[in-house]
Amino acid sequence: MRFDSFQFAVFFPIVVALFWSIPQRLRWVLLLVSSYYFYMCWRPPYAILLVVITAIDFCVGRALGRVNGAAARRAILAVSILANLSILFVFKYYPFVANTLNGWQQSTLFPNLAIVLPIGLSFHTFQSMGYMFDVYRRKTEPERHWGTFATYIVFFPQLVAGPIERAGEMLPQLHHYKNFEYKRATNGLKLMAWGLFKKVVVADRLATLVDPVYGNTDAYSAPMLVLATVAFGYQIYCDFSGYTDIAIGSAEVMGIRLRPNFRAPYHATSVQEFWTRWHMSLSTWFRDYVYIPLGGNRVSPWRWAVNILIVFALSGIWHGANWTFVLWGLYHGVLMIGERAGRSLVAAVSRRADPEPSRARWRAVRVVATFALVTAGWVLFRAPSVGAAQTIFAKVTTDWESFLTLERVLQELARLKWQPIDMVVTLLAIAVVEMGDTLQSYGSVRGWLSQRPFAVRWGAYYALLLFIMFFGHFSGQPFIYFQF
Amino acid sequence: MPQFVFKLSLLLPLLAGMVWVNWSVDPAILMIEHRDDPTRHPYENIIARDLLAGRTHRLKSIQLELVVDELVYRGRPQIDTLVLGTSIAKPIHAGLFGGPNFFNASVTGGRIEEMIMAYQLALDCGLKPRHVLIEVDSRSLSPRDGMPDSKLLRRALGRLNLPVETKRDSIWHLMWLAVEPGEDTAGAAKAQRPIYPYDELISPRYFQFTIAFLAKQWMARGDKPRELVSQFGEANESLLYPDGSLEWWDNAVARTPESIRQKFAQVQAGSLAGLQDRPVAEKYRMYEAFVGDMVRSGVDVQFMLLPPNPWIFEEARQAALRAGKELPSVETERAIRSIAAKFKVPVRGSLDPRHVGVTEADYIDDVHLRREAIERIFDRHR
Repeated sequence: MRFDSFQFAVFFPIVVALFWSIPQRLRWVLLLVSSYYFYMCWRPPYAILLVVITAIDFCVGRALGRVNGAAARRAILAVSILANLSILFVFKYYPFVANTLNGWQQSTLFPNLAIVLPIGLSFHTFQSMGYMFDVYRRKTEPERHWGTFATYIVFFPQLVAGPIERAGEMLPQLHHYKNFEYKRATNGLKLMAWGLFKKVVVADRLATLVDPVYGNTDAYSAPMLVLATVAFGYQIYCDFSGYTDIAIGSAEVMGIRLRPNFRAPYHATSVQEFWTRWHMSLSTWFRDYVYIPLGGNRVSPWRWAVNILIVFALSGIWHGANWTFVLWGLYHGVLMIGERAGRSLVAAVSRRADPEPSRARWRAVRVVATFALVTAGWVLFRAPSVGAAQTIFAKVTTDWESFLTLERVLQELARLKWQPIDMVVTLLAIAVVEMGDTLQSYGSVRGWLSQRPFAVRWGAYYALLLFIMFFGHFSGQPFIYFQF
Repeated sequence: MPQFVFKLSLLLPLLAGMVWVNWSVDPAILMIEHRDDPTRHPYENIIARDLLAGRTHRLKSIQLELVVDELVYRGRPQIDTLVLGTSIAKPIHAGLFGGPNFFNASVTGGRIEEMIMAYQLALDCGLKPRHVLIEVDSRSLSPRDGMPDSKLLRRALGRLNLPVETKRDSIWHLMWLAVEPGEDTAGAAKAQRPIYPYDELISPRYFQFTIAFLAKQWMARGDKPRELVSQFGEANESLLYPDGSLEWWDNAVARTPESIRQKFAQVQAGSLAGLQDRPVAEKYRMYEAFVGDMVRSGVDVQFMLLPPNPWIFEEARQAALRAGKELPSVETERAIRSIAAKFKVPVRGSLDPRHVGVTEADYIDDVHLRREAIERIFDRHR
């Protein structure tokens, strides 16, 4: 069930109305049933996977709570990790591994299994594994109530595309539901509307440009490839953050707080800072459960660099079973290493260039540079294959002449049926998103809006909703992160 | 909570506005209630205007023929002779009957239900046809997948005291279909929407389509009417005459028996032309009630039986003989003749091409006769 579908528009109000009508002790039942229904709207038999993961991890968690011996606890944890990663491997990585090995050996030793990837598998697997690690480390008490634990795993707002929640933050909320609060509920709805705006006005509209270009990279000019890549950067940001906003907003309506996942990532002044602003729940997960156990930055520089590459390679693999994702992850790892190595050099250069550096000017340069580096990485993320990515890079770096005129780009846009109105609407919408992100960095926009006079508040709400109605692209485009 | 619900209700004007715009404009005529409204069908209005002005019209697109019929009925003071049938009857023209007040209201792909609706429309428009010719073919009494969902049909069937058998799911079944979990690849909506098309009323996509439609109309105001763009190409445009009869398009007229045989070679002969479809009692009762009502009203009713292509007929007949069964169209003809005998209604033609004196050269496909072949059949059976 998509968040921008008619089905969800019917489903959500019913769930919310029931949620606030039934006794608190029964709310976990409602959330559990509705979350399974939400998941089963996609492919009913795959709900069995959720049941299996939930059952294994619940039992493992309880066992970890009872067992004290280090070796025994490690063995029990290994059971959970093995189970979760096995499921992840079979459904997500086996076809990739089989194709790669068959290719190397030029054989068909590994059969090709036609398995459909369960939606949101990576997300709820990592959420479950995070719980296991926290229980193992005794950071969290094992959950005793199977219903509450199952609800934690399958809670529908964040089930299929995050944010990846921590047990210590979410389980207490599922034990002690809050009372209805008007301000929280309205804030949740505002966030949902904002997320919908980002998704249908920006992301889905940009998809009509990005998908055909990346589907046939040979047929487009270098400037068009650059434009499509920049467009993809905003498409994936607005798509994913839009989804997250709807997820967080819908949970907030029910009085449940989810962790933020984005914080104006394209305003980052370095790649390191970018990763503290982009998909924060995943990056903190890798930090806490992979990077720090590997030693973090309390190791030699060489060891640190290896750790970074491992973490980012895993992050890339998490996104998808394709060499392009691995390369994308490694690319960011190399950038992180390069940034740290070049930090003192950059500081020296900047002082030499401008003895009294204008903070704003220097910040702007860094933001643009970071944006360019991240955008270059999106080529690897979006390209269907390494070969296609190579084609793009080769064209962009060699076909300089095509950047001198706009004519070909305009022709290619016309071929994609992009009218001037599409460009105006998209640029305006992106400007609104960037303005929203900028204002949010100064303070809560929703909080500020709620203190304005009635006419201003409702004028803003109506303006947003009318913009969505008139300019939203309701093509049924799936959320990008559903495929992960 | 009450304050929350109240504040949510302040958004209702947006939703109501969208519903109102989608409903009142409905440019794609999705809503069932609008399908019978002639004012919403611009092309049909253009066709009717030509026919009423005595001009021939080249059919450039698919049209709703019942809407054209209604518009013509409204523009004609009287229709004495009405032809009701399917596309097979389309070439029947005024010259075969004499008199100016003739109209061929046959509906392509139609059956007894469309004939009943066309006649009902004539009555609704204050017309009292004195002669009605009903075309019958091999499919006339065979079962049909789904009845048209039309208030006009329900009214007409009600007038004839026939059961209204429009299949409608109960509201509970529709609700279950709406919430039933099912295949939903990557979150895409289910293909079958149980409350379609009414969910389009709150569809922003349809709203945008409607606004774009209104914007185009507004921008085109004052412009002279554009020439219609043909969806078929000139060689595939049929000619519609002011009397409602049709001349087939050039490419169809150019077909030869050999090319027709080649075209249908892969298809089992009996499945063509409805030759395998057995007549059902329900359709018999509909014909009986319809004809009886007209006869009792003083209308002079005639049946015109038009056979399928002799090649198709012979293949199906041989197949039936091998199976030791009677060809269903024989049963159909027998049933029609029994209705005719009951109400003393003349029957022309036959569903057996051997009795009508037609050859393969008289056809443009498996069932449709050329205009001149129909004229010959009429002459033969005067």
